[in-house]
Amino acid sequence: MVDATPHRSDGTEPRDRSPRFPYLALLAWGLFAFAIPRIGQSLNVVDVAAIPLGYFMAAQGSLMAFLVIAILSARRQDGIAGAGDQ
Amino acid sequence: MALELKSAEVRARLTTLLCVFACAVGAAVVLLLLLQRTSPASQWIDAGYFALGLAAAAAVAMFARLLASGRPEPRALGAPAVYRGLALATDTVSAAFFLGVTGAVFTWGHDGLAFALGLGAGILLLQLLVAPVLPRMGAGSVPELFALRYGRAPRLLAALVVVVSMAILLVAQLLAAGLVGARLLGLEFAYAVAVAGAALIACFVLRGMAGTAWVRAILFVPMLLAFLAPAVQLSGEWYGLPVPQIAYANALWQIQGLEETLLEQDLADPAVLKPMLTPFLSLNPLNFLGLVLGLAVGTASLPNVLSRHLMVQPVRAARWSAVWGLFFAALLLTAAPALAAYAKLAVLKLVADHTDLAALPAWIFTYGKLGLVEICGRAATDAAAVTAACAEVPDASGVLRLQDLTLQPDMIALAAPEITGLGHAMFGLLAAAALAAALVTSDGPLLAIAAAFGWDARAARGGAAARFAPYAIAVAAVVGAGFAAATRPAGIVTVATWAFTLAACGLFPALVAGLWWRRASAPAAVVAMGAGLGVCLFYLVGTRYFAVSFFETWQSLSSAGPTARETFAELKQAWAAAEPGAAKDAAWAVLDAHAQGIANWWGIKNLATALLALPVGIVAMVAVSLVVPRRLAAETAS
Repeated sequence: MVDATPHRSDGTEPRDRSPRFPYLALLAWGLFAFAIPRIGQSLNVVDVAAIPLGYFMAAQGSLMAFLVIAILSARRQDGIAGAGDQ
Repeated sequence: MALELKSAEVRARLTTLLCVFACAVGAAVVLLLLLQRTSPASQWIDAGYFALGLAAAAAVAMFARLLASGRPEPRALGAPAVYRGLALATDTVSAAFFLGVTGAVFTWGHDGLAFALGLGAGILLLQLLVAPVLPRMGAGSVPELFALRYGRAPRLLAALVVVVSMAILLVAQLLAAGLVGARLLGLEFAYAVAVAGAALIACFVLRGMAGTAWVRAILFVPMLLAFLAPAVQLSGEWYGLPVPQIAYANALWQIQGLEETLLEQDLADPAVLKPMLTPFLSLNPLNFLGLVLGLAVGTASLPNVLSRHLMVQPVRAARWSAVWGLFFAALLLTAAPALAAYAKLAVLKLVADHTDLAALPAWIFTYGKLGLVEICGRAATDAAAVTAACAEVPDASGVLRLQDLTLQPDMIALAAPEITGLGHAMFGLLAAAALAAALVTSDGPLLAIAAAFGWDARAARGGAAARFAPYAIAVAAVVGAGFAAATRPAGIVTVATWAFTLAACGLFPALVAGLWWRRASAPAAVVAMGAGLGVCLFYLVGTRYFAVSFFETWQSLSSAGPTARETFAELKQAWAAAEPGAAKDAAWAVLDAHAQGIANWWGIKNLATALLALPVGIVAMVAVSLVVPRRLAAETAS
């Protein structure tokens, strides 16, 4: 049996200044993957770059949002880990 | 320090190889363009593009072997996150979605975007939940991970899920390669699949078991360029803005206008025309979200993605490789709706121009001969066949109408340069890139299958039997998948989605619980995997291959309306009354096709099976982990 919980090599637990971030990131994932596409019809009344917003979000907007969330998440994890696990 | 040296060494080697690869591909492209000037679009030129795709795949396989020669594993540590990201994007998008997403958006409009959305969401889920923790586990494959975390029985079940899902993904890749082969070589589809299968095995042997996996990263660059080039050229030529992700807004508005025009001029049947921008006409919201869920969760637990190159790496690289993977995949996936819109606009213009049935463009017959274009219900092999088929339609008018034209979604991305009137070179390069992608990205499923049987790169360094076994397994897998692909079980994206869904339902609950929840136990993993895989396989196979009996057994749960039920009863009677032989077979085909549309539970299509099977797996995982005492669970695992 292997314990997958993150540990540092010196045995101390990494300090997490924003412990709610993973939950917020998953919430944002659900929002952009499911909630916003679900209301695509209603969003289509607004245009973004001349594309109806509902279509734009499903085609490009959500993918851009995923990328932003991924960058924020990776930066945060780097911050927690510091140089310990390079 | 040692790691930095290795990294610099690998980077230098990779740069040299990249230059060689770029020069060779560039020289081949220039040669083909020169030849094309002398005899445009000849069969020999198309065969040249096929050879270019083969050569690119072979070059990637050879580079993988060269880079890995000697000490495979430590070298893998030296790859920068950006290369790993490229490899991740190549594996996730693969040839199946490279060709498939554009066709899905072309055919289903807004609802086809679920495929791009699902893949993107999946790479993010991988980054959030799986990739950062994997390197700490010290495993090299999914079954090995399950063996380390849970024990022997879960390992066996995980291996079963890996084999089933990867074999189906292999079918999707062979469908893509077969399609390109059939188009470029003018072969029958089954023979093209056989040629692609043989090339696939050759590339796999050339690469070797120890080949460095992330070298396939270099293939993503030609894939991206070949895909973006037609979209960029069309954006520039049509709208003066060579950024397809923005310029295609113009095409969307033109499509909307043309759709109204076609309806007004009686060139389109309102029952057939599905406005491109209107959501949930092909998939209802439940199925749309189920499809996104299956692809997203499937991507995060895909055995060929969770391979050694993602598992054996520094933790920081693991975090950023997924970010880079998402970036590169998004570059391609956001261009797919643009290419789909341009192809759709060209087809709608063709209809709106009152094109005479005797004056159809050549691409219709090229793809009609492959059985991918039907006009008036018959394959559009030539002008005479089309005219004869449409003469039998009661209200035929001699011009092409939208309801008379059926384009297989699989062909759209490949044919987009031809449909939109671009030069033959654009088509050739796209086809060569798709072929190379299919051959190279099939390595992942083959390695995952070999690893599931216990034959990975380390095991293969043993005796003669150990060196031979993985190749024998790979050959068996390719032959099996080839036979399945030759029957064309469904469209490319549909088959690939089945593979992702199986991985999602079979592996995800136990995988994520194993990584994040200490209480997760071996019995729970066994029950969760068994239940998830069982429900998923039952629903996929039942609704696709046994639709008639599935509907009869579960008709109380089906969403079919009274009319569809009456039609089913009538077709069943017609089948029972038909004379044995060809007539009975034809009646059964009609009955089965109708049943496939209504064989469901609560209206859930088989593309959205994750909605049913994933909750079953998650509930089983949590419930059994909580119910089985820890002591008993620990004994079972050991």
